[in-house]
Amino acid sequence: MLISVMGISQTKLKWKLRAMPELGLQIGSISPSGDARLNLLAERKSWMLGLGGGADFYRFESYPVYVQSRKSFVVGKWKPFAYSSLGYNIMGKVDQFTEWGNIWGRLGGPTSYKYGGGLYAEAGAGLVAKIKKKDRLYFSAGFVQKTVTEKYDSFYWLGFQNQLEPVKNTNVYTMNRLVMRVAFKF
Amino acid sequence: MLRCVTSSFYLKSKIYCMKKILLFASLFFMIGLQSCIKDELRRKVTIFRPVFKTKMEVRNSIISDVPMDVKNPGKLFYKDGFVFLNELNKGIHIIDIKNPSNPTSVAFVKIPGNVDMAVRGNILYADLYTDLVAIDISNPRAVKLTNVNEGVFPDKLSYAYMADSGKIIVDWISVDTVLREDEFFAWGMRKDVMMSATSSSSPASSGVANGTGGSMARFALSSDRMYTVDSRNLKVFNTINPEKPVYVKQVSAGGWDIETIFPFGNNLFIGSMTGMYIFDISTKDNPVLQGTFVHARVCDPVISDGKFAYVTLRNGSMCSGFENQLDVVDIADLKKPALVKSYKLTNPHGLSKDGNTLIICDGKDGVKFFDASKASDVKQLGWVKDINAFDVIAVNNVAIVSAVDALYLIDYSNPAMPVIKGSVKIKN
Repeated sequence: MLISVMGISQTKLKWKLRAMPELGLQIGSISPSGDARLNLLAERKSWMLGLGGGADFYRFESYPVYVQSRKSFVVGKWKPFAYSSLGYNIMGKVDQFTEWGNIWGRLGGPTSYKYGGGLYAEAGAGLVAKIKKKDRLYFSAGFVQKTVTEKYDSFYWLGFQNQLEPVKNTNVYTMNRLVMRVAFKF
Repeated sequence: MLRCVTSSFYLKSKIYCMKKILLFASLFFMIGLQSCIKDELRRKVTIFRPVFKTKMEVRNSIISDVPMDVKNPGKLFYKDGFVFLNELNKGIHIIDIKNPSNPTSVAFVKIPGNVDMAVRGNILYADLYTDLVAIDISNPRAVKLTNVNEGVFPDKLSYAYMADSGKIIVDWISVDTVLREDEFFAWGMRKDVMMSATSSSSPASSGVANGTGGSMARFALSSDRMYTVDSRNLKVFNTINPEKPVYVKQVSAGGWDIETIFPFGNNLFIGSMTGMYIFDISTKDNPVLQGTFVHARVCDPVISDGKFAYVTLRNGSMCSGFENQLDVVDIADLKKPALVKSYKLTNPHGLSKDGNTLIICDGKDGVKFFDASKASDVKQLGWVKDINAFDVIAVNNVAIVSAVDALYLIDYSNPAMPVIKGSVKIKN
């Protein structure tokens, strides 16, 4: 069934399925980090559309899933392209996160933190290099953003003896980074 | 640069200008990106804004209001079938427990800044920030303010809080807001302020009966005097005329981290984070330090039965220390109190003693009932589990227990088989 659908998509609509693993080097507020992703894209003429997912190791481990679009151009001998991704960032290892997160709250005692994902977005541009007849290398630079939310209960000291009011807190952490990627399309 | 944009040039000059524009564009792009790649934190937090009233407005509002839900309970006091339960910094709940199976909230008295209280005869003494107020509670449903001693507790203006001289904070309004930070910093505070109490039955005087307070109380009644402690001072109030208490004097309480005061006979037992201080009050207006019992730095409510002092030591972030135990201290020689024996507990808070029955709130481990007929051999008899208890007053075989989720009334007629008779739920 799936094969027949793919066959239809490739013949009638002229969409061709491509796999595109890629590695990224990220530069943000802290020391450089990396990510690894796999995109499954349908290609037609100068467009590629599809889904992707990966592991992002900046500050803490998280697993973005996203939809991606790519558009190629031809400028003389060069073949530049632009791309964008939009999706959801799934939280990974929480312990690692709390070590640099709410350290002051943790010193106070066993406050429980709940973590959730958030927006994942990327946009960038680059150049395509031909390797074989169908295989290509994509070199790009872009801007990538991932978000996580942290919820915890704490107390607000009203400035005098024994007066601590319980409050609920939500922290939204947004990590903005430059990313340089190399991707292989086959 | 401006010339490059506005003027016409020969080809060579144009190439030169293009390079220059590219250089500036690159610099601008790099600086722009630098500001884009900062990590950010948006903190959705709740802040509290004070609501002010004038002193006169506050004093006029000290009346029996309709009962309200218990939300943030503090210390307990008992008198004539009524429990007076502090709502931290807001006022006092009056709860009728004459029928322990059906405790009923009668009224709520608004007293901003209130933490401590005591009852002598029909007069309720309470702190209102730095003031001491005396309130006639003959009819708990229609209380009346009878006197104000202004500024007798200046310590309550310590820490970060300073009141407006003409106005008083009566409430706080919570406001949600969003703060934005470039780098990640967040903070939190933990509530670890537990109140505790035990029976501090004190002798009556002038035909006026004093009520029963707790082991964590900072107000204590003995005969016709009221004694209060702050972090380092012991204050004396003359209450011969209960409606109009008169400030007498203050003396050093022995240490600088004083927590509690408990009267028994002609003595005051003062608990601090580093030890217990025993004062002689034979001369009512002139308390004299008799002896000291030193222990590790922990929180330590203390009570006494005249022969022995019972001190619970607990650790915790506010209390420091590594001990959770009951110390029984021989006070036959007040000048040389001596440890009889220590008993391991889980996280003991308030305690109370009724005859030979010793009742201890052991935090999350519930309420424990002991046979304390032999100080050197205190034995556990009964145990009420599954409540997080921190405060107890024992009255007529009923233990009034303040816990995290409710005020419990526990019948301990048979200390080996204590039974919860009734409760008033706390609504957080």
